[in-house]
Amino acid sequence: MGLLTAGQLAAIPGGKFRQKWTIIHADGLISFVLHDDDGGPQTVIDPGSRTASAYNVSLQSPGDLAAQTYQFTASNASGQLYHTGTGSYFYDVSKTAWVPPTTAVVKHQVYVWASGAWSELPCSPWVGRIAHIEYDDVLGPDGTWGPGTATVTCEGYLGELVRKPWTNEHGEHVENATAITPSGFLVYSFSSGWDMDGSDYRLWVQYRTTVTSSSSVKFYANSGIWSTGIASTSSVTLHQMSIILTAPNFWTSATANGTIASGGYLPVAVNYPDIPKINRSDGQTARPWV
Amino acid sequence: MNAAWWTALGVSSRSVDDFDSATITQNQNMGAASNPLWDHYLVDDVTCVQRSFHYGGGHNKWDGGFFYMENNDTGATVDAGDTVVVSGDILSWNPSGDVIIEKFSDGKPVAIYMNSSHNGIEIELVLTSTPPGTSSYYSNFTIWHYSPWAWFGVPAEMIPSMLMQLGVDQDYIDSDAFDNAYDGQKSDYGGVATDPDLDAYRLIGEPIVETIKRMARHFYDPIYFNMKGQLAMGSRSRPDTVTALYGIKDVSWGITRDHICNIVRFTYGDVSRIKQVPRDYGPTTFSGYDVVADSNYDMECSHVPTAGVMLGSAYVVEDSVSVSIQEFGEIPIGGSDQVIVDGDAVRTAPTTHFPYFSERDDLAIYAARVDDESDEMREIVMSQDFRGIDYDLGYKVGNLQITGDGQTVSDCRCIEKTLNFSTFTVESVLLEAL
Repeated sequence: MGLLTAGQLAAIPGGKFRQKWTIIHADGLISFVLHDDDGGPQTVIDPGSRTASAYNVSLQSPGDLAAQTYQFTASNASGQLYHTGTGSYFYDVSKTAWVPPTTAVVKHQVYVWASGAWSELPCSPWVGRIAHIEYDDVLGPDGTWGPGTATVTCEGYLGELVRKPWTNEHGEHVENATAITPSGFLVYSFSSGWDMDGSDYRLWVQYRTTVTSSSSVKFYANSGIWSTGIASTSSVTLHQMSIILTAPNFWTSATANGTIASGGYLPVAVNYPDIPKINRSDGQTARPWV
Repeated sequence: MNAAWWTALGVSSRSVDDFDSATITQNQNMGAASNPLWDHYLVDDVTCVQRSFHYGGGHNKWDGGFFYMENNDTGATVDAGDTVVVSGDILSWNPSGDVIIEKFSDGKPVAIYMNSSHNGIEIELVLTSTPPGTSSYYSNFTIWHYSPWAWFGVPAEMIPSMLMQLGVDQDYIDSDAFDNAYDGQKSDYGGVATDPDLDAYRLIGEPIVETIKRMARHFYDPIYFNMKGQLAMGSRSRPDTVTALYGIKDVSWGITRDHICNIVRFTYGDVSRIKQVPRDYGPTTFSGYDVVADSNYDMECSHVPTAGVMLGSAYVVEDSVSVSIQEFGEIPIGGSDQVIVDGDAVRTAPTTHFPYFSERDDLAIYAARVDDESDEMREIVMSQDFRGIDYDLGYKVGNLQITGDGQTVSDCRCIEKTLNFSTFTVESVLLEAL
């Protein structure tokens, strides 16, 4: 079965189309219609085209898997790609007021007029990040900007993500324990396979929390409090804190228990494979116990 | 995959009891316990996706995840106050012998042991009865294994799972297409009667898109960003289909040999799925504590060589289509040259490695595929008015009569589309499916 409705199939031949481009900035503060055929701003002068292709087409020539690149051209008569009318500029070549274009996304919607209403087509909405804007504004001899165009190049929304390489920072141990309510504890047990005698080590702990007071997070060694405090106090974020483990208060089998006393989510990770030694007085290095 | 699956994978959650999902979890109910100083337990039937030590697995390179426990008394809602969380790493490896990754500590609740034993791995969980800060004993545990960056399943579930774990909103994933591809991949796929699941993992430094492609290449369903820009997967065996085409403006077609493949040689696997079978070998001693195990387990690892390692005929699977070879000559897919010992004969031939297959039978997928791709195909370029968006990439387009001789092309698959928003025309590239 096809993607178009019977009404859309009937409406497309010789029908009336509507295209709409909306620009949404990552900060959520700027969101405006750049162009709307249905009576909105009429800024886009070349709506462009998009090509989509498949990967894994055959064993011999598998094809490509890339987020679509999409380019359209808008008028830029005022030297600003668009003015919201309320003082917020998306981009102003004079830089008196602007936000970086590449931190915004473009939503492109296509409709056909069917049965007395706009009907959104199945290739829509398409959302892509702005990768580049090419301005051809002309600075006149009198020092003012003349009319010009802005060619906006977008990349499919997931393009940037899928090109990134995996790193450990993707969170080998991170789990999203957002359903967990306050009061939990994490456990860290040192392996006897590490020579920790007479050394100081730094233990990195990551946790996600809404805790806003450093006094509400405590880490315990055996029965005593090791350390109190969190690295930052922003809300619902992944924190990372370090605890300096000082000999001889712990040794080969010491265990750290981090407790969120209140107001927090469950800790998410202990990054223990890398326990950098610090301040070792005898100059020796820690070594795996092999 | 159903709505619950999508909801659960949106946030990888410890409480998801879905072992078919791409996030690997496995639990073992401890049952009622008395009041021991600590319990010793060997995890039964763990499914961990891990690279074999011989092929790069080792300290901090495995993506086997970690274990944690859940107090069943809290019911479906996990109460962190009653839950011991083992936030440890089972990825370390010491080749010299038994390794204790996390050391049991007197008075502390949890330790994880991971022992190497010959070529096998045993995972043992040692539990104390009393965690700090509480006075109650753990009498009823569930042990979970959590591997956020290793996946087990078919590509149609692994790929969206990976993306959603990375925080991608479901709006950017074509869930209907992946659902349909999943159903196809879990059914009789390419003559494979059993579920041809993959064991896959991320590779640090590899672009995510390459991971997606490597997963997808183990099956033959196309993957693409659809007309809407969502990541989607088509289904070869259960294709969405259109047979009525509207607004055709122009058609051109030709015969292409670009896709011919008539012989494939492949090896498989550099990942182990741990599956344990009972073995009784008596008491074990750990760090001054005598532990009498309830049972012990040995492990079976699917173990096959990878490229660059010794290959014998037993490890190279070869499939060919003789008629096609007679007509076009031998056209293998790419790969590195490997020495194949075939009886008394020794020969060198390009061999492709499929690291995520752990079952030799899964390679029947490729036997079926080389059959499909052993001949010339028609490639059709069709221009339509905007009704050409009636079908997306991956769709089967049937009942085409475009050759002028009355023949009907019964099955083409859309592999490329260009949407022109100035002229409201659509150009589609269709590849004949044989």
